[in-house]
Amino acid sequence: MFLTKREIESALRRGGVPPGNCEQAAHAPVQPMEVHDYCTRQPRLRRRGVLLLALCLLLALGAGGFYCWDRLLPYSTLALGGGPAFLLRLNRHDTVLTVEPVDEDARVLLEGRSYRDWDYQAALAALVDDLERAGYLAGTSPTVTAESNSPDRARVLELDAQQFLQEKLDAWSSVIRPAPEPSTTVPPTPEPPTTPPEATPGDRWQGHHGNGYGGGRWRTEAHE
Amino acid sequence: MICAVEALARTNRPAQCLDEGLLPRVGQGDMVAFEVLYRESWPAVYALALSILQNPADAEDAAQETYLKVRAAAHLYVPQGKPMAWLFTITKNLCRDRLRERAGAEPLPEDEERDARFAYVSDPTDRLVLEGALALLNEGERQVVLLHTASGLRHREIAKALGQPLSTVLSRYNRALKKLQRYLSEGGVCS
Repeated sequence: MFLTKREIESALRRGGVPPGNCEQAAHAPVQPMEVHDYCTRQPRLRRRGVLLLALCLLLALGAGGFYCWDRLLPYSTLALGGGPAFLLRLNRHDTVLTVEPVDEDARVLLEGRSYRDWDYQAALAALVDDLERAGYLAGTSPTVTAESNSPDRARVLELDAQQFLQEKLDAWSSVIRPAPEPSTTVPPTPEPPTTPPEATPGDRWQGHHGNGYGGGRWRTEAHE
Repeated sequence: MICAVEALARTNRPAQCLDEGLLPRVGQGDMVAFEVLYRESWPAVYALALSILQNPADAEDAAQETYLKVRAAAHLYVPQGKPMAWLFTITKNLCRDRLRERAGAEPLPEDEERDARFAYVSDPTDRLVLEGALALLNEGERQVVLLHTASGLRHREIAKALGQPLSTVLSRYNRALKKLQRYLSEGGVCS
């Protein structure tokens, strides 16, 4: 016997469902349940989705927390003194988070500037340049001290910073340069240098206008 | 012919979506709400029970018992947007209980049992098709075929109520009809 799909469907429909006995089901005595039993327990339809969502949220929170801990929380502090004083707060990668002025002169020098995300040596170099340009380094040397959550790291950081400053000052002392007068004018915010500006012993300082203030440059003797 | 089949399908089709608001009312003892719930869901509940138990009398008993459970637990029902899925869960659990009980009972001789089971179907072709569907198809296929043909649920509604992908429901349905066609063309002998 060959039947089409439609004929099979209609045969099943005809042989299908007897009328139920609603009266009997409606009036049979039943005891209301206090809690679901294994038969009536409702399926947890969205359990998998909720678990996935919770997992994603947990991962996002973990990643965010790690980022904050690693990049945004201060780990070390460098104190630059010997004139106007600054506090450089650094993260675990020695990247500058903030530079805070300790006194009024430092506040004036920092006005309108931000060193956020600079490497600490670049920020130190820029600050020392500003101090030198403003005439605060005439006759005095800047000092640097470090603190850190890890004493070892503090020691290493302090040594590195001191060595870096010393090299910079040595380079300056070996060249002839005009003595600048103290200035209260605020130079423009410098661009973050890719490498800290350094002078070699053979370089000479040349001011553009011959007055010893900003706008000068280092000139190598070999070029002349 | 096709128009007649479609008209039949429309008369068999339950309400598009069972009203979830009926269950709290049933839980408060509202008999009118219970009657509406029963009328709208009976074909689907019975078809599901038949697909599992493969015996019309047992399926009718299990379906009736489902409604007693619904009356007893409707006040505990938490709306999830799928009231039919809850009815199906109860039906499946009750049917599994019956299957376990049946496993320990003495079976009737096959011919005698078959005559008794399908006595209510008068047309020999309809009877042969129903016997074939219950004997030949696996449980998943039986569920989809009986819920669609006997109770009039759409494939999408079946997928939602059984918690299965629509593609699975459709492929099972088509595979089941092909099996039945082959079975009938070979003279109704199970391989």
